[in-house]
Amino acid sequence: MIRHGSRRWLIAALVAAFAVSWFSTRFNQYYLGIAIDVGINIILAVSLNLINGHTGQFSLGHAGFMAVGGFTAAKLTLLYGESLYPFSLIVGGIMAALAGLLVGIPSLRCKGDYLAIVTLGFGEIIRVIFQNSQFFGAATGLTGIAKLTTFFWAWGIAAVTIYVIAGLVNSTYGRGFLCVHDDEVAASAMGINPLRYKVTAFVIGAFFAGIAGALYAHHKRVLQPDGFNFIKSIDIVVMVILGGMGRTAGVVVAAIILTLLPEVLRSFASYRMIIYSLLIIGLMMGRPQGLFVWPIFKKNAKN
Amino acid sequence: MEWFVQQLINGLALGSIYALIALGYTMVYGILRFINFAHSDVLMLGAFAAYFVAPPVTHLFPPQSYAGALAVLLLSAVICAIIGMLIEFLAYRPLRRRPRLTVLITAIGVSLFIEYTCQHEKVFGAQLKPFPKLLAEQNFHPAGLSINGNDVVVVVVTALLLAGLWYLVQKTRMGLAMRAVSFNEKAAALMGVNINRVISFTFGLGSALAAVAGVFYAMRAQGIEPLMGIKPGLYAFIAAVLGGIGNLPGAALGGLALGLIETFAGGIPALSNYRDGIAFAILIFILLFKPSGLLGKTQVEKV
Amino acid sequence: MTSPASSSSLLQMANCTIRFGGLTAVSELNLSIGQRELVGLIGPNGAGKTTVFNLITGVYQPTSGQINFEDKSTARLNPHQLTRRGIARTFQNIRLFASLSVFDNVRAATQLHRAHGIRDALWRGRSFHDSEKTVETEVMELLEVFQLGKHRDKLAVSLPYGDQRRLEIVRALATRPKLLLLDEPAAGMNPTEKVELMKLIQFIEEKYQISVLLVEHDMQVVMGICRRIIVLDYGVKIAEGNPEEVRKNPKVIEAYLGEEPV
Repeated sequence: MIRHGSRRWLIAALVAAFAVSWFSTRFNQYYLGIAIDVGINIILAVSLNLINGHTGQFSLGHAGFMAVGGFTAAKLTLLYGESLYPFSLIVGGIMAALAGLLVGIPSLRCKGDYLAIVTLGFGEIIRVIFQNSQFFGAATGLTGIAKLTTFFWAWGIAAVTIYVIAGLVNSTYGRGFLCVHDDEVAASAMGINPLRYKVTAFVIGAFFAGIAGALYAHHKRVLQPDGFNFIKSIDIVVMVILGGMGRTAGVVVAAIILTLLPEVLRSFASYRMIIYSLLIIGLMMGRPQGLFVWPIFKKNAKN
Repeated sequence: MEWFVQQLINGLALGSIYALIALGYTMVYGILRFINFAHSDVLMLGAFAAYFVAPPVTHLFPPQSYAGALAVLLLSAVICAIIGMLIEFLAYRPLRRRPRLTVLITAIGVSLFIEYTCQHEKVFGAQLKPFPKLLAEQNFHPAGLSINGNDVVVVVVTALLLAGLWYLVQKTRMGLAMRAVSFNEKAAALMGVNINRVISFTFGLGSALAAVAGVFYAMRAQGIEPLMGIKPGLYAFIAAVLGGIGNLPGAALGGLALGLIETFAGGIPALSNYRDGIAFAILIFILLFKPSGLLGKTQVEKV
Repeated sequence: MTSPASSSSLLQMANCTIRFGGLTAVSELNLSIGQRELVGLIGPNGAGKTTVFNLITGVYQPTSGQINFEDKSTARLNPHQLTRRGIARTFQNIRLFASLSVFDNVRAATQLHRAHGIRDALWRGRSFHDSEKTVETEVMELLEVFQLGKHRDKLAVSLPYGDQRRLEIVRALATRPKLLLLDEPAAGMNPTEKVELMKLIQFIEEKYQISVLLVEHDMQVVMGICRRIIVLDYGVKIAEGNPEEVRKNPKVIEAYLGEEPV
C-alpha cells in the first residue's frame, strides 16, 4: 500500500490537516468536535491493530494505555502551563509505552484468552490506581484541562500513526510481526525473535494510545478514571475487527464509521445503543472478516 | 479471630457465587472454546426473573419461607436456562464454524444488546430496584460470632449444586457426551453424539447456575439493575481463568479463591479501595508462573 | 560402523538424552555431521527423529549431554539464535506463514542478515530503499532457482502441496544456513515427486555447499541420496553407516526394515 513516496504522503496529510485546522473557527464547533473524536479514534484503532491485528496478540487493555497518556499529559499542562502541550503529548506517549513494556512481558508467556484476560487486568489495575491517586484527582479525575487539541493535532498525529504503523509493517523488518501472528514456531526457526516483536508491538501500540489519551484529555477537558474501563477497550477492539484485523485502511474507515454512528443515531436517542449492539452482531454474522475486506484480499481466517 | 471467621464465611459465600458463575464460563469454554461474554447478563436476568416471580410465589408459599425461596430459585433457573439456550441458538449456532474471534465479538455484541435493552425505560429501566426479601435475615451467634444465615444458605446450596454437577458430568450419559464433545467435537459427532443437543444443554445448565448465582448476588446487594452482572461476571471470568479455563474443579476453586481475596482485601481499610486491582494483580502473578491457570493443563505445542 | 567421513565436524551431539516425564525420547545419542555432508536419520514411527531435530534447533534442551555447533555449545540458545548461527529447518507438518505471500514468506527469513531495523523502516531513507531492493533481488533469485518465481504474489498456503514443501525449503535456505534440517520432506508425495525431491536435495547440497540432515520415513529417498545413515529406534541409535551397511544390519532389519523389505 505505502511503499515509495510514503514520506511525501505523510507531509501532504500533515499540510492538509494544518490547512483544515487553520479555517476551523469557521466550522460548526459541534461537528469540529466530532471530527477531532474521529481523529483520536483512528489513532487508537490503528495502534491497537498493530498489537491485535498484525502481531496477533489479543489485547483488551488499550484503554489503560490511553488513561496513562491522558492523565500524564493533563497533569503536565495543569501544573506547568499550556505551552507544554506538545511536550505533554510526547511524555504521555512515553509513559504509556513504559506501561506497554510492562504489559508486553506477560505476553511472552501467555497466549490467546489468557493474554486477553491479563491485558484486561492490566487495564483495570491502571484504572484502579488512578481512581485511588489523590495526585490525579482520585475518582473525580482531572477537570479544567485546557482545550488545546485542534483538528491539526488530532488528524496530524493520526497521519503520523498510520505512516509509522503501515510503514513498519510494510518493510522486511515488519514482516516479522505478521510471521509472529501466523506461526511463532516457524518464525523463530527463521531467525525471528517472537518475544522481541511482541514486546515491540505492545510498546509502539501503547505509545500511540498514550498520545491519543493526551489528545483526548485536551479535547474533552475532563478526565475520569471510569471513562477508561474495559468497555472502552472493547470499543476499540470492535473498530479493529470491523475494519479487518491487520488491515490499516479498513481499520481507519471502521474507526470513522463507528465514531460517527452514535452521532447519526442520535435522533433515535434511547434506542441508539441497542441498534449499535445489534449492528455488531449483524456484522459478525454477515461480514466477519471485516467490513472492507473483499474476497480477493481475503486472509486465511484460521485462528 | 472473630473478624477472621466472619470474613471467612462472608468470603466463602461470595466465592460460592463466583464459583457458580465461573462454572458457566468454563463449561461453555470447554465445549466451544470461546468466552461467553453474555454470561454476566444471564446472571442479571436471573435476578430480574426472581424479582418478578417472587411476588406471585408468595401466594403459594408463606413469605420468606425456605420452600418459597426454593421455588423462586428454581423458576428463575428455568427461565434463564431457556434464555441461555435461546442465545446459543440465535447468536452462536450460526457462527459455529467461524473463527473464534468472530464468536467472541458476537458475544460482546449480545452482552451489550441485553444490557442496553434492559436499561431502556420500557423494559427494566436503569435505576436500582429493591430486591424482594426471599429469606428472613437471621444471624447465628455461635461462640460470640455473628454469622449471617443467608451466607450459610448460599454456601450450602452451592456445595449441593457442585456435587450435583459433578455427578452429572461424571456419571450420566449427558455428562459423558459433554466430556466427549469438549475433548474432540468431530470424533464425538462421529460416535453418534448429538452435538447441538449437548451444546444446548451446556448453555442451559450454565445459565441455570448463573441464575442461581444472580439471585444470591441480588440477596446480598442493595438492589438490582441491568448492569449488576458486569462486576460479578468479570470476577467469575477471572476465577475461571485462574482455575484454568475449561476445567470444572478449577472454576470452583478459582471462584472461592477470588471471593476470599476480595473479602479479605476489602476488609483491610488500606486495601479496600484497591480491591478490584488486587484481584487482577494476583491473577496476573499466577498466570506468569502457571500460564494455563492453577488446574489447567499446559498445552505443549507439537513441533 | 564407520566414523564420520569428512574431516571437520559441523555439528556434534554427545551423549544427548531427553526425558519427558517418565518417557526417555532420546537416549545417550552421539551424532556428528561433517562439513558438506548429507546424512539421513531414519527409524520407525516414534523413534525420536523429530525430537533430535528439536534438540538441535533449540526447541528442546537436552536433559543431559552436550550439543556443539561449529565447536561452540548450543546450550540455552533459543531457536532464533541458532538460526542466526546457521541452523535452518523445515517442519514435518508444513508451517508456512498463512497470511503472507510466497515472496513475503521468503523475505521474512532474510531479515536476520540485515542491519536495517525499526528506525530505517520508519525513516525510509536511501539506504533503506537500497537494502529492500537487495532483499527483493535475493529473494527472487532464490524463488527462480526453485521455479517458484511465477507464484511470488500468491498466498503461500494456496500453492499445491509439493510447491508448499519446496517453498518451505526455500524459506529455510533464505536464512543462509550451514546446516539444513529437513523433516520428512517426502511425506505425502507420490513417486515422481519423490524423485524430483531427491534431485532437489542433491542440487541444494552442491549449489549451496551446505550440510543436510534428512529425517525421512521413506527408505527409497534416504537410501538414494544419503552417503551416511543413522538409525534410531526407541530413542537409541541402533546402527550407523553407508546405505549398504545399514541395509544389512540385522538390528535394523528387525526394528524397521522387517516391516517393509527393501
